[in-house]
Amino acid sequence: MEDKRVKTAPSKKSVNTAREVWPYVKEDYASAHRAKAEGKPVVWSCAIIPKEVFWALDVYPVFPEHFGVISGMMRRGGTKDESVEKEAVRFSRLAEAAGFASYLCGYARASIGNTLTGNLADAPLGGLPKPDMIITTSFVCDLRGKWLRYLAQKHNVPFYILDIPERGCDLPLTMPGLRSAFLPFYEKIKRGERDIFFSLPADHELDYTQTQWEECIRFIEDVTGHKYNQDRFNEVMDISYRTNEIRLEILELRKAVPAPMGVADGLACMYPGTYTMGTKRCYEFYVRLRDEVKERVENGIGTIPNERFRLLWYGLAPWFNMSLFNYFEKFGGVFVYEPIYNLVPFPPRMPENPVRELAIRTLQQSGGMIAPTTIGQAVSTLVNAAREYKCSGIVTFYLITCRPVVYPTVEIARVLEEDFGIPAVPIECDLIDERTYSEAQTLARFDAFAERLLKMEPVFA
Amino acid sequence: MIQEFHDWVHNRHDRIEEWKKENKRKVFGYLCCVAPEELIHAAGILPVKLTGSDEPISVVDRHVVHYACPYVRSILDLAGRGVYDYLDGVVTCNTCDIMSRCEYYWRVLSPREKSTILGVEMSPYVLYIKHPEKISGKGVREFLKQEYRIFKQHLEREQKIIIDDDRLSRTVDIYNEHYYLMEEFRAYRKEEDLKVSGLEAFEVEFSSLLMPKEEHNRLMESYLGELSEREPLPDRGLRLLLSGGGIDQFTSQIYRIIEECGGQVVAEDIGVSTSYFCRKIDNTKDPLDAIVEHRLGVHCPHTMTEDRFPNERFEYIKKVLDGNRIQGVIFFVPLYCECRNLEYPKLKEDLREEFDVPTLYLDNDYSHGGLEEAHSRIEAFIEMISG
Repeated sequence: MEDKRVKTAPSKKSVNTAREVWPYVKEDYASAHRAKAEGKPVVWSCAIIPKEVFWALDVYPVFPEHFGVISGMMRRGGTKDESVEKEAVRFSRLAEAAGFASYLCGYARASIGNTLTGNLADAPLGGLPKPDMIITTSFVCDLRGKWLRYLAQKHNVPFYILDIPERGCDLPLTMPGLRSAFLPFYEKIKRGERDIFFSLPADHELDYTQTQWEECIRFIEDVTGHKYNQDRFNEVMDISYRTNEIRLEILELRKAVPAPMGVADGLACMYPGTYTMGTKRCYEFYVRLRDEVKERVENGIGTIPNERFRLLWYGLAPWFNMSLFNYFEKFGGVFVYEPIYNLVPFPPRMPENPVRELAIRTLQQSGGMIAPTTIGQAVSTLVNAAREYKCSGIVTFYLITCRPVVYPTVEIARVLEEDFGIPAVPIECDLIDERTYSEAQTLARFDAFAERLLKMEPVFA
Repeated sequence: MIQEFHDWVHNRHDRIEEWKKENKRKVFGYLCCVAPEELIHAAGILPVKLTGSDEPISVVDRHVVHYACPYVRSILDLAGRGVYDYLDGVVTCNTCDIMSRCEYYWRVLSPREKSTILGVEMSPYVLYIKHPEKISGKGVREFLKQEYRIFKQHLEREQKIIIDDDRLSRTVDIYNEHYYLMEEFRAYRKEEDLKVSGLEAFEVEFSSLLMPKEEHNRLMESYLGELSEREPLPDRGLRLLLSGGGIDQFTSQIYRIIEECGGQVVAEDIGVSTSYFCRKIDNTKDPLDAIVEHRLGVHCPHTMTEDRFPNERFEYIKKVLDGNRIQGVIFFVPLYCECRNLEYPKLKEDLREEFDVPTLYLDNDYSHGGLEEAHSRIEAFIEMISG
């Protein structure tokens, strides 16, 4: 991989509450280290796993994925000196030297490289405290199972994988126990129908997922000696449910013209909900965010003063250079919505059997854009998002190191352009490894794309 | 005899189409070795392993990104070009990120209308099976059994039959005969005085995934008889394990290259052949339960177990190596195959520690250029071991 330094910068936020996120993150890393020092069990886990069982069983979750994010943003010792490479690059080199391919997810290479240094603390924000156990899942991608298994082997700690039936099927489930294809599914995608997205899981999938959660609870009990308490679990599930309702309200508000909260804000504000869902602190964050976005909508305050075109973002984020989300502003373009990290509606609360409820939710989420495990669902979701958020163009993250994100990009671009007249432009690089990024190529593509959009009539005006 | 195996491997489309015409039977293709081909067989359908080709890619780029397994891209390109139009059905499982998306890709690249009742396809052209990633632990068997019941129902509707236990048991007997013969064959590869080269062994084994099992069994009986009389190979070569994926009639050239460089593959962990034939189906159990158990026994790099301190892939490779006295390991891993790449660094350490053998890692980019490039690296590797 080419050794070079690229010019990068953080994004400019529009929403004040988004500026609370960085202190929120720093506090989390500090409190994780305090928890470890006090003898509280620490679990390394991943973004996509619902966190409620961790809070209910009083274990402290930390996340190699998020460690990757901050490694992609920060340089060694916190310096701003651009001649010093980002920590993600330093760690990736170590992982690659051990035999891990450069086409693997940057998050994985960063956390593996950090582990291979033998000194976890020599890292941004003091790194992650040493794990007492590792819990991951099979859904979203192949990598998170094998990556975290390797970390468990290296740290010699117990490992659990929550196996979730992959919703690879692009066909709706028409009745319990049976998956059948309704009339040509592709026609549905073209019409942007959502029933694919919300198709119900079959009974055996739900039973299996519930068993996986029950076994996960038993695993934590065995490792920690802590006991599961349904009342405590319901308290946490209640907070999560309320938080998600607020987050859905925010998503509704973000449809407004002019866009009150752009993608730069959205990707910053994903942290509390992705990593601390089920806590009071997280709930309160989104209440403040909702209130602010609502006020902006009521007062017609947009992310930029004169909105000329609205853009949809597909994919995770190039965390090493979030300023890209402000790039189109000089043309009057604004990124208005990013399906990733935004949850779909939760199932109704089921206090008498909250583990079943969690199983239903897990399968629903695995069918949605939070985890785009199917091409058809990803395309369908983006068609709907473009329509609902009145977007006339889409920027797709051609994330060369993430198979689940990169796979649908070609079909998303093709279907949106051919069937709906919504053009797409790709940005090609890793999430955090800036060596993979070409500024000249990216900005040349963006400039041409902006020119094209300025000449077009809005598609969903 | 070997020519017959070779011909099925290298002229697979013609042979399968001829078989189909002569026997007036249907053919289903499957993408991955965990697909329950026994159920397809019990339905009276010929299950065949789908493979790619060395022909240039022409249609797949419009739908599938470049950063995807080149082997699967090649298979999908053939689908898009109509080469696999002779198939009556396609079976895909979620055995890796690209495989689980092949249901969509196949439908888009090779659409086929099927009859519907009230808008519901009774037996879809592309069938998707959710194979658990975790192959042991509570609930796993029950889950897969239900997936197989759904799959079996689609096959029954396709064939307008009921696949009862008798049918399944007859299939189990045929497959067990096959596994028994392959076990006997494997013993030859453990011998110090090798009688069969790695490439020949591959073609013998791989052909069984393309031709009717009954016919393969008959050929194997004669072939094993011939083998017992055969003289050992003049040049035995360095004994090697080949671990990797995307190996078919095209990329099996890697065997020839290894042999040219002075090596000999005596065991594999490649998703087909030895990683597939080591076990028999328990014919004392309910046949569907036994097939489920059998398929959950495949230790591919995608699957994991419930072990709290997991090292199941190395444990599996140790079993494959039992009695093989290998002197080195060549990893030949499809480009962008995360499952295999992620397990490599730990396997390399374990192999070094337990067997004191060196390893060589090669990317399989599924191209002629890639194979040529592999030649010099394999040559250097074998020289290094030979001192």
